[in-house]
Amino acid sequence: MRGLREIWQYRDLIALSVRRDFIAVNSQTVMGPLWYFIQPLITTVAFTMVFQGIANLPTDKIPPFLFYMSGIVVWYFFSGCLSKISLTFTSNSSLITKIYFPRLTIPIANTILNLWLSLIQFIIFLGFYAYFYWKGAPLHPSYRVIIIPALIIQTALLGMGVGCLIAALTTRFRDLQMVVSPAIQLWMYGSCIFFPRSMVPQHYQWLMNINPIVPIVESFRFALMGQGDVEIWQWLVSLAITLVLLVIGLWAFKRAEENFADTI
Amino acid sequence: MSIAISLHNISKRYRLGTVNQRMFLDDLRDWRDRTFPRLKAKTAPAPVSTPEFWALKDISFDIKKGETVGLIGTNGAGKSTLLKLLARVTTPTTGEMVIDGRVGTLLEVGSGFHPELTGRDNVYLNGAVLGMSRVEIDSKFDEILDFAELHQFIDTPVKRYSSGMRVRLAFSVAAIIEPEIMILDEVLAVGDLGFREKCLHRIEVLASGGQTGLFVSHSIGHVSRLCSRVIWLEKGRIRMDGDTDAVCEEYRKAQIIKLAVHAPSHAPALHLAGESSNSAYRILSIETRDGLGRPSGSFRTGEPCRIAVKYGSNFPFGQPIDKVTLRLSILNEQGNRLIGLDSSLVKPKLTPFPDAGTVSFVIPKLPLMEGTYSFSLALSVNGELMDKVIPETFFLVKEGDFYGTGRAASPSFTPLCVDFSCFLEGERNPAYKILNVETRNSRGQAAASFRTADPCLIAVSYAKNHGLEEPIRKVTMRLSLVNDTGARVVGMDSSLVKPLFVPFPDEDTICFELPKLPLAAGMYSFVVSLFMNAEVIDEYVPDSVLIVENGDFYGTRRAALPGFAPVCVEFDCYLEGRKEQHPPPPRALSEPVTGDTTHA
Repeated sequence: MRGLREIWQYRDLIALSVRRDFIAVNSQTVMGPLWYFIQPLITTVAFTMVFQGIANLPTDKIPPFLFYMSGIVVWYFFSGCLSKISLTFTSNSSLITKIYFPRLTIPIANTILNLWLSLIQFIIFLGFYAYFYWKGAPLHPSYRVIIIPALIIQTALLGMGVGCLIAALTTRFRDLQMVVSPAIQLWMYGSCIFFPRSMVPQHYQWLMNINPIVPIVESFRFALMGQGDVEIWQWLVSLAITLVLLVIGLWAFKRAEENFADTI
Repeated sequence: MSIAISLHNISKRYRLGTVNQRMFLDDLRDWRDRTFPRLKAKTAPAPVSTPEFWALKDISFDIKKGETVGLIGTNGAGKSTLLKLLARVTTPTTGEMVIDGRVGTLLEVGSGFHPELTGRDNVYLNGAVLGMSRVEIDSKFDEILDFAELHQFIDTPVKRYSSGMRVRLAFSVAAIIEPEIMILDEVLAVGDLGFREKCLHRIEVLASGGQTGLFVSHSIGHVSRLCSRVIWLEKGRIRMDGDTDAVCEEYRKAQIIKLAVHAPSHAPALHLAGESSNSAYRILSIETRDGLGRPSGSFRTGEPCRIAVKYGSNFPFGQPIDKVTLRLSILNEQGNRLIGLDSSLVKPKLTPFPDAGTVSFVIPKLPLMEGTYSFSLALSVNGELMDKVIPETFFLVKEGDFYGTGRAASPSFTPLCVDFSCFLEGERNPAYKILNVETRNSRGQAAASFRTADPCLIAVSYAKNHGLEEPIRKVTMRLSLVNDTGARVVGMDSSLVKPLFVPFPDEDTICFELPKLPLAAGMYSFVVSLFMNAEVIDEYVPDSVLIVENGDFYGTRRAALPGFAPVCVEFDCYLEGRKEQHPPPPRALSEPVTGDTTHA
């Protein structure tokens, strides 16, 4: 509780850190923030060509472009939070070893920055969505869109939980840094980003049940486009896993921040 | 008064050499051994006990709000660790710590800057890291900018700043935003002198304004200037805690004891790697002595000081020794060389050089200011470096009267004392005024150039200015001839030949006549002072100089060597058994004499 109040006191630091990271990433690039539009578009186009055009994977009757893009928007948000937060200690060590401030402001700022960037991507997605809807594609938006904010929050918490856990572990085992990015890649393959859950064979369904990101992706598609394979219990399991990971992550983070200055 | 910082039995342990060298497998094995002791591998080597190091041990103290406390101690005393604990960067191994208030640290300035952001953005970010809200920084922003003097560059990315500019900006943020508790660690070693002084002043203002502060330094000077209380750490424990003067004095004394412990006989000098054993000569010890040659570790500014360097030989040098140079540097607390004494400047060869002996450096008037100083030494023979040492000795300098005026210079103003004089030019308003000094030759004509042994007349003209109220009972004029090193070579006091000069005309010229100029070749200037009734009326240093060339003072066609005989005096020299009747008759004065000094 005291920790939360302290973080609130440092809210300006969070805001300024978000601003700093945004400026730092875009400085000396020609197109600046435009990249946040282009990146998901390129991936979506590539996915459409490879998985639809070549592999011919089904997309649950959703227009392939929208199908892939919805998955990518969610996944980029999650993996962005995760990979950035997992570097909390190593990339801020010069500051952390010199001065005290609530360390949790760094993951929070990273999450907010990624949320902000994903919002831009979501808006682009909505643009394409409107286009396809106008062209008469079988999209069935329903009142269920109201759960989208909840999904976003859950994704953020999941990214933070796992990110904090990895950040804490990397202070002990530097090796983990090497594993993070291939692991994220691998995770994506098992997260229904470029294939619908309905085509996963029965004996792999349990994997989908314990992967907390799968119900999020599927719910997102279901809410917006009326197609998705998710049961309410699956989502509740995913929510429970998210919370457990968050608690473990924050606990490990707390322990790591106490000893970090001595172990670096 | 309430407590800002309270430490109770704080200890901090570090494991030596093992941090971050462990692999995941090691941890896994530890875990297995702990959880399943029976599975412990029999062949596994006995666990090596990790060497531990207690950086701090049982530290307890309270700092009241509004107190400025200094933290002193030698390297490795635990100062930085303590600061890290207080800055809450790390946690104590045992003990309790309560900090009431926002802590602002400046452990290493500028580390919180992001190079891509502008100075303005970084000020906000840095302030936020120090716990300020945006509104608070807004209200202080102009003040920060004024202090840093970076108006022009504030919207430039910090990556284009010079390091000095970064330091200025960082310090300005920390100094202006006034954290409730301010922690400073040797930051003042950076920045140019003007800015450093400005920072010190700012800290003084903050300290007197009720700011709680903790100031860490090696320098007693800074600590005693800023703090009312000092805590002295030694090997992780509190050695002393109390009034600044008392603790600083004890700290100084301890440094002297250290000097005594490292007395010549049992203090081999600390040799820099690999330069002593394979050289013929080595430096054994160094000792500081007072004007009477007694060993002493403490001096006053302006006192004579002698530094005796003992050396010995490892094995014979083998070649003939034609040049030995010993270079002695005196270093201040920050390790900066303040004085460098190169023996070859005063003794070109330092030969013959015995196998073992002592080389002494004599400083007639110690120019160092109050503080602790150390040495570094380098010995070369025939241009080859024999030994280079940094002895673990210190000597202390206390305030002293260098200038003989009863006043001591301030260490924060000058690191060294030099002889100088200072006067108001052209605006003298004495009762009688010295107007001019003129030199004339044997024909009474004004001349500036003479030969040794030429007749010379120095005419000092004066005039009454506003006059003396009391009757003039005695007038004395003193005329000094000063050589180009500033040393007085000849002093002529009119009262030696003309006791009174009464009555004294309102305007006239006082002449000093030298029938035979005794000065060796060189350039000389004058210093004239006029005394009336035993009081200084006027002092005058004319711009004019006297140039003296070699002349035949002794009538032997030889000129004296200026370095050996700055002034020629009449003398004779003979073997007692057969005194010669007469020196050869003097020749015409105008005859040129060569500067042949080989027989001088």
